[in-house]
This record gives sequence, C-alpha cells and structure tokens, in this order.
Amino acid sequence: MIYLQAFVDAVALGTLFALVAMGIGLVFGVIRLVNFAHGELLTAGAYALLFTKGMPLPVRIVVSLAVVVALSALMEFIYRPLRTVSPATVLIATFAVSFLLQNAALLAFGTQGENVEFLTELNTAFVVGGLRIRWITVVGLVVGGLTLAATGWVLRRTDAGLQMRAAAADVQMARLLGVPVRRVVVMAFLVAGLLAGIVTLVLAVQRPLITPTFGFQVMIPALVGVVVGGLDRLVPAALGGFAVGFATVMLSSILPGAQRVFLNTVLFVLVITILLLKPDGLFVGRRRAVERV
Amino acid sequence: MAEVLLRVDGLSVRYGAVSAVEEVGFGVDGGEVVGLVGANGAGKSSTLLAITGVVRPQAGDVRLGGESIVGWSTERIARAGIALVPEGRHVFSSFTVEENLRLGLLGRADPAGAEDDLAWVRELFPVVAERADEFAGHLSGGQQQMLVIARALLSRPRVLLLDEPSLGLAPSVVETVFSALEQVRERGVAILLVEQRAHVAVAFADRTHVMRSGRLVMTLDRGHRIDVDEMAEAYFG
Amino acid sequence: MRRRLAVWHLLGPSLLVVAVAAVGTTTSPTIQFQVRSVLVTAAIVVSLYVFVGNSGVISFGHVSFVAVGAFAAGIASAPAEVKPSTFPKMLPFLANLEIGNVESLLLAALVGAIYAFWVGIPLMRLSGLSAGIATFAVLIITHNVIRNWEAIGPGAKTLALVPPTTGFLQATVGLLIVMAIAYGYQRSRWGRRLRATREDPLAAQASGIEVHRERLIAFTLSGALAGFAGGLFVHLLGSITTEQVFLDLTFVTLAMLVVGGIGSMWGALIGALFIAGLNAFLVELEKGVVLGARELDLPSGTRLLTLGVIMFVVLVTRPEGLTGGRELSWPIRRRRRV
Repeated sequence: MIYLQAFVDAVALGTLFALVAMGIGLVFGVIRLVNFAHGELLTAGAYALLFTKGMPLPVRIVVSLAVVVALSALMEFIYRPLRTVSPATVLIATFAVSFLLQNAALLAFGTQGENVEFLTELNTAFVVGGLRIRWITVVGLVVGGLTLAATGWVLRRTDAGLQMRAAAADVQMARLLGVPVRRVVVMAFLVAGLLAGIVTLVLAVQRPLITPTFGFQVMIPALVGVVVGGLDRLVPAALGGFAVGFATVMLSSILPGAQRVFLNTVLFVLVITILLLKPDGLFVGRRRAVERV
Repeated sequence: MAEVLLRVDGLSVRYGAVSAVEEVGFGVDGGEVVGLVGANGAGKSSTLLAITGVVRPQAGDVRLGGESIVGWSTERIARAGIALVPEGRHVFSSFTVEENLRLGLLGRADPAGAEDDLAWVRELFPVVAERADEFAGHLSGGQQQMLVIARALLSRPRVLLLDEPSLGLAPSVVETVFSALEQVRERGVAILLVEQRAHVAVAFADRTHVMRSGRLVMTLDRGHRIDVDEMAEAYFG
Repeated sequence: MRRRLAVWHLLGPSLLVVAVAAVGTTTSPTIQFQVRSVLVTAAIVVSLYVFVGNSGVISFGHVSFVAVGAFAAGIASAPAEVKPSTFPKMLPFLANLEIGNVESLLLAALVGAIYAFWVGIPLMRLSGLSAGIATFAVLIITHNVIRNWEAIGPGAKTLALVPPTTGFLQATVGLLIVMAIAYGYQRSRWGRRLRATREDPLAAQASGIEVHRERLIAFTLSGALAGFAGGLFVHLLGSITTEQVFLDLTFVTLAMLVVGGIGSMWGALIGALFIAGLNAFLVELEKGVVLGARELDLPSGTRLLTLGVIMFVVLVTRPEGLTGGRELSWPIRRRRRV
C-alpha cells in the first residue's frame, strides 16, 4: 500500500518534471542551447503569484503565465549574441543568467521565502481505498497530462509544430525549405515559457514557500532527465524528465529510513550508470543513428 | 526586354584564402534546363550554395526575375521561389513521408493549387503516396531522392536547383527521376542541373557549362557528342 | 625566443601572483583576508584548468575534489581532543588523528588524486553534455555523502578549529606550486597529446593517442591539485561546511575560467584574479566608500548581481575570454600574430 501511495505521487512529480524537461528539450532542439535559466522562469512565475496575493484567481493565473512567457521571450533575445559561440561558453553563459536572476531575486526578496497562498484548498487530501491523495496531485496529473498531449499535438499536427521539429532536426535543410528559423526559435521559447508557466501553477500549490531557488531546484533534476533521456529528441527528453521525477519519489519510499538521506547518491549513481551504458540517451532507439548520417 | 528568370553574373565565392568560384556567369530561363558539370571541387556545389544564400558570395550578382537576391536569407530566397535539392538526399528521416511533403507545401508563397500539386507529385512518384505514413529514414536511397524532389516541387519553385540527383541511384530510378524532371520543365520551371557525369547532363540539358577550378571554361550544346580527350581537357586542364 | 617565451609563460604569471600578494600584505586586515582568498581561489581555478582547459571537456564536478581535499585536510589536522566529543559518530581512527599542516596538504592532494582517478575511469569515456551532467552527478553525490555520512565527516555541522595556517606565504607558495605543476604538465608529452585531442579527437585517435587514458591522466592530476587547493582553502577559513564547497563555488570557479579564457593557464589566473578582485572590491563598496564629496553605498546583494552581469557581458563580447585563450605574451617584443 505504501508503494501504491508512492506510485501515485511519483507519477505526479514525474509528469511535472516531464513538462519542464520538454521545455528545455524544445529550446535545445531548435538552437542547441541548454538554458540553465529555465528554472528561473518558474521562479518568476511563482513570485508573480506572490505579488498578486489576494487578487481574483483568474488574474493571478493570467499574470503569472504572462510573466513567465514574457521572461522566456526576453531570454531568447538575450541569448541571440550566443549563436556563434562555442558550446562550452554557451553553457556557462546561460548558467550565468540563471545565477544572475537568482541573485536578483535574493536581492529583492531575501532568502526567507514567503507563502504564496495559491489555491490552498487543493492541498487537502481525500482518501480512496486507503490511499491519501491530495487534490493537487490529481489536478497536477490531469493538467500535466493534458499539456503534454496538447504539446505533442501541436508539434505533430500544426504547421508551426512541423517547422519547429524540422528546424530541430536539420536547421540548414529547414532554411532551404523556407522555414522561417528565427520565428521558429522565438516560438520555441514561447512554448517552453508556457510549459514552465503551467508547471509553476501546479508547483506553487504543492510547494507554497517561494524562495529564489524555487525553480532551480526543479530545473536541475529535469535537466538531468533531459540528458539521461536523450536530449535532441523531445519525447525521450520528456520521458527522461518523467523518469527522474518518478525515481526520486519511488526511491525515497523504498529506501529504509536511515538511508533516506542518501537518496541523491543513489539517484545520481543511477544517472551516471545510465549515461555510461547509453550515452546517447536512455529512450533513444536506433532511429537516431539514421538521422546522424 | 524581359530578363531571364535566374541570372548569375560575375559570381565569386571564397572560403578564407581558398577561392571556390571565380567570376561565374550564366542564365536559366523558365522551361529551360541548364547543366553545370565539372570535376570534384570545381565549384559547382559552391555556386548552388551562393545562389541559395547559404554562403555569401565575395562578389557578383544573382538575380531572380530581375531582382537581386544577394544578401537575402536562405529562407527568404526559398520563399521567393528557388528550391534546392542538395546532394545526399536530405530527407527528415524521423518524419513520415507525408510530413516531409507537408514541409514542402509550407514553403509555398501561394497556397492556391496545393492540392493539385500534391496529386501531381504523387503521380510522378507513386511511392510517396504508397508509403506516406512510413518514416522517411526507412525508404531506400532512390525513394528518398524522389521524396526530396517531390518535396522541393511542392514549394512551387520557379527555379529548381539539383545537385547530383542521379548519384548512386539504380538506372531505373534515374529514368523515373529524369522523366519527372522533363514534366517539371514543361511546366515552365527553370532547372539548373549539377552533375559530375557530363553525359547525363548533356543528354538532358539545353546547354551545359563546364566548370574547372571555379571558372566556366566551355559550353556544350544539347546532345553534344562527348569526346573523351576533349572532356579530360575541359575537366582537368 | 621560444625558450625565453616558455620560461616567461610561467615566470610572468608568477611575478603577478607575487606582486598581488606583496601589495596585499600592506592592506587592512579585512582586505588581507580577501587577497588571500583570491590567491586560494586562483589555485582552485588553475587546478580546474588542468583538466577543462587541456581536454576541452567541461567538468561541473571539480569542486568535489576541492571538497574531499578540504575535509580530508581539515579533519586530519583539527585537534584530536575535541573531535570525538563534537563528532561522536566519527570513526575513532579519524577522530584521534592529528597531523601537521604540510602533511595535511599532501594528504588532501593524495585523496583528491585517488578520488579523481576512480571517478575518472568510467567518466572519461563520456564527452560533451553527458560528461557535464555526469561530473555534476559526482558533485551531488560527493556533497550528499560528506554531508550525511557522519563516520567520515562532520555531517551537517561545521568543521571548526582547523589551524588557520594559510597566511600570505602559504597561499602564495601554494598557488605557485599549482601553477608550476599545471604548466609543467601542459608542456609535457602527456599535456601536448591531450591538447591534440581537444582540437580534433578523431584525428588524434587516428594518430595513436588514447583519448581515454590522456584524459584520465589530466583528470587525476587535476583532482590532486584541486584537493591540494581544497586543503589550502580549509586552512584559510579555519572552519568549513559542505555548502561552502558545492554549487556556488562550482559556478564561480567555472565562470572565472571561462571569463579569463578556457584554453590557457594565464586565462585561468587572470579570470580568477579579475573576478575575485572585483568581488572583493564590491564587498568593500557594499560597506560604503567615500568617493570625493559623495558617499557611495551600494545595497547588499548588488555584488553578486554585478558579477553575473559582467560575466555575461564578457562571455558575449569576448567568447574566448579576456586572454583569448593564449598564454601571456612577452611584453618587450610582442610575438607577431600569424
């Protein structure tokens, strides 16, 4: 029963991580840039919720989403000079932006953190068949699942999605086919921003204490998931994010009490093992080899 | 006097200290096929890349319908009506055949007539209809080449540039490809055909320019009987 | 000329270090501490450079070796009278150990080397972003273990009463040793082979260079130097917690290396001196400084923000870093650029 309980929570966290991972993977796919500052999108959204405390719910949601999407668009603009720079430098540069934004938040709001008081009623639990399930778990699952499905639909079925995938697969050929790559890049950041905004809304209910590292703490495991899953494909990236979220919760319930503090050790030993066994990604099959030739 | 559809004048391309194309000039009009042949490294592909804006020419002009397109982005040139079928069959292998074709359609300046064109390319290359839902990466080499050409045609190009379209293909596939190109020519599209094997180009093109070390050195008429010594001279100097 | 340049590549930076230290001794005690910590930070960055600069592979895990070095040196040299009572769960062997300053620094280097060697055997097979994430995983694991395994470390508590032996002399000499070893390695056969793999791994492999082995050598040496620098660090602070050798230090040292120029030891040094110096300057500004008739008083926290902005601007405008990844050029007759 304990494991079933953990399983529900694990799927819920995995879904959220998958959304974050998808955002990171989408941007990486299109411009080969790992945006370390993706986590700060969540942080910005959370502070927006904090600032609108007491306002009507729809206003809070809209403002928060708008702030996150706008910040994501701003990042796209800031990153433009990085197009011609070596990958290592790009990595450090986005790391610098993340660091900068965290310190800006620290400067403005301090380390203590504040309770966001957002949809607190969803944090209550109901009991079904002996399982204690918080409403937000259910909401998170539904919202997360729907968002993943919607993103998948946009990427597969719409013209913009097709162009985004084309630019991610082979940017030069996409250009030769008239794909407006610049617009596609902006679009990728907007979609990634929207995904981050949605995650923020769910996460702010689950973890109502908003601190400057609110998003960073989620970005790191999600990014690990992206790399473990296989970062130049969206579905493997999202699955990787899910796997890390899922494994985190499951491991913490499987490990005996005294050993639970070593959760990160177990988790990251697993990560290293997977990277060694499948350096191209856990969920990347043989098809990738074709693409590379 | 109306200008020819695609006009290249005094085009030069350099990569650092290396000169790839030097003062090349030629024209291709609608409904016309012009061949461009030469040995490996003669500058044929670089000429194509300069026309499509992938590399920026050092000097010279490229005009499409009288308008200079030098300095335009690759995507803008593509939308203006120049389609390139690059060497090496660049299908999106993780996309389905159908999705590859849809990408071609998205490159059209004018969405009207898309359905007709789709029907037409399916007739030219039945395989793209038969295997519409399969991943493009699973097609054979010849089928991929047909897909790439079909995709290019769906963008309704005014000028079609082909880089070694027959390279490594079985003779029957080559035949299919060239009979399709014949229909494309009849529709008034200007075709620039780059080939390493001169006899393929000369048999098909209205005239064929021979390139050597970045320059045009000779022009052959259609059906010109190729003399081995003459070609060796033209290719290697 | 070549020979003179080669000497100058080490001598020039060394003179700079000595000059910084010499000027540092004349300042107020708080600034003196800042200058010493700049020197120790530079030692960490140079140790990081030995691997990252020569191999071209980004490591997010190097602070792990700083951490094991710092805790090894700190625990081994903290007084044996207090350890058993402060850290009741610590292995008796460790709790009763008390070694001298120099021994503790050598121990730190040894522990760093052994740890890096074992970690490097599997990890050096990876490259690119996988290597980045895997080394990052090592950092998380190291932090997690040191923080929670109370048999070998202080756990979540502060390890205090470490003899504060890293004065100006030790900081300067320590940094010079790290630089000399780093430069010696870079000029050696192994160093040149590894640099060849950085430019073109496939070609290097084709000409008989074993990338894995060359990387492992650099990683181990780099781990030894990082451990040694960690030893200097703990003796500088006199006390340490696991948080001080974790994410922030990782970011700051990597940023220093990239800002200075990833490809040269001179770059590593300049990046460290520039950012750490700026950092120290901003610390003073936050305390309030009188400039002419006006008093400039920055709100606290501006410091890290400014650092972030400067780093980003340098990266965008000079992606090869301040030094362009080149060694220090001879000041009198400048080498002509080809």
